[in-house]
Amino acid sequence: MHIPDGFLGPQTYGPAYGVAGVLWAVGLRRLRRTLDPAAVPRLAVATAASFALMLVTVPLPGGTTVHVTGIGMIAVLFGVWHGFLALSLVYLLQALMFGDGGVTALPVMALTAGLGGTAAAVAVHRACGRWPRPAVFLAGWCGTVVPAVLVAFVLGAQPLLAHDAEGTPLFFPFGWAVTVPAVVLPHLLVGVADGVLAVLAWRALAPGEDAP
Amino acid sequence: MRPFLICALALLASGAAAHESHGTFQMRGAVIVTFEDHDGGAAEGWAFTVLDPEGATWSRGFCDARGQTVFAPDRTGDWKVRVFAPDGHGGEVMVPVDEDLAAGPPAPAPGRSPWIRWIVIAAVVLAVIRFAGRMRR
Repeated sequence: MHIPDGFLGPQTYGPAYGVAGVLWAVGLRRLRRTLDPAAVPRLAVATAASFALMLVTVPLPGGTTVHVTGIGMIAVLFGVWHGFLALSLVYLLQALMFGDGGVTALPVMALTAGLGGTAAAVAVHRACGRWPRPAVFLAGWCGTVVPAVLVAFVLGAQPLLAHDAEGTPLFFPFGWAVTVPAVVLPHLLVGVADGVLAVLAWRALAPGEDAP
Repeated sequence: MRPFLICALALLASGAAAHESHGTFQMRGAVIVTFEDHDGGAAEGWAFTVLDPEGATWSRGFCDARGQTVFAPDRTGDWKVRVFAPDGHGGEVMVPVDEDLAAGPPAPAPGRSPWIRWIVIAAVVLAVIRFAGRMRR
């Protein structure tokens, strides 16, 4: 789930930069107000772990590759806003250092994975709070699958959003009928690994009484 | 995303002739670019866009059963072929074309050094392990 440059039209990444820019500003303000200094090392380690995990791609039959994200892990441990900023930083560094994902796609990745993924994970974690361990596992799974669904919809919308007078797509050319199964199905499996990762990280890093 | 395309590029010999029923035309300096997926299989059905040296779209289409696309550059410069996999993977390869319309070896986009990637991964893993050890103490 790293969208390269040239896949999204300006009709997509322009507004996305606007929305993400506002949310980055809001998130940084909240971070200054609410960040517990004692949590900084744990947040740094979780962010670094997510960064490294996303670099390790696993090939799947059919020629595609997937990777664990750590989105659910960060969301469960640190919440939506901190997760949004941490994952935005991860995607920025990966784009600049390794060309994994494009700079034009950065706000879309931040919004779909950083915000959508963490929000879904936190919502599921809270909804299933009575059963802590399954809740964390489900949060990890949703933290991967929900961004995959959102990315599939963004990619599949490109032929509708950016095309020439004859209707020929100018950027990513495949519609939803292709992108949704192609992007989402492999991530249903990766989500399991992300769920396990979230449980392991929660047991190791979660502060307070929740952690066993 | 790596353009996992080990791009095999072949320059069809200058002057190679193709024939059809109503005449003959010469296909000079056509460039074939072959894309592969991560399994090394042909990137069949992947969409491609060819960009001329000015960045304008030159042609579009889908890779054939061998994962190949062909285009015929008409001027010197750095041409680009962008490829789109249905799952959102893909990438871009640059094809330098000289004054004789001969194509040089394709170059993947910059910024992809596998060994740096593994050094960074190893460094992060070591840091996480050290941090976990300190937390335990």
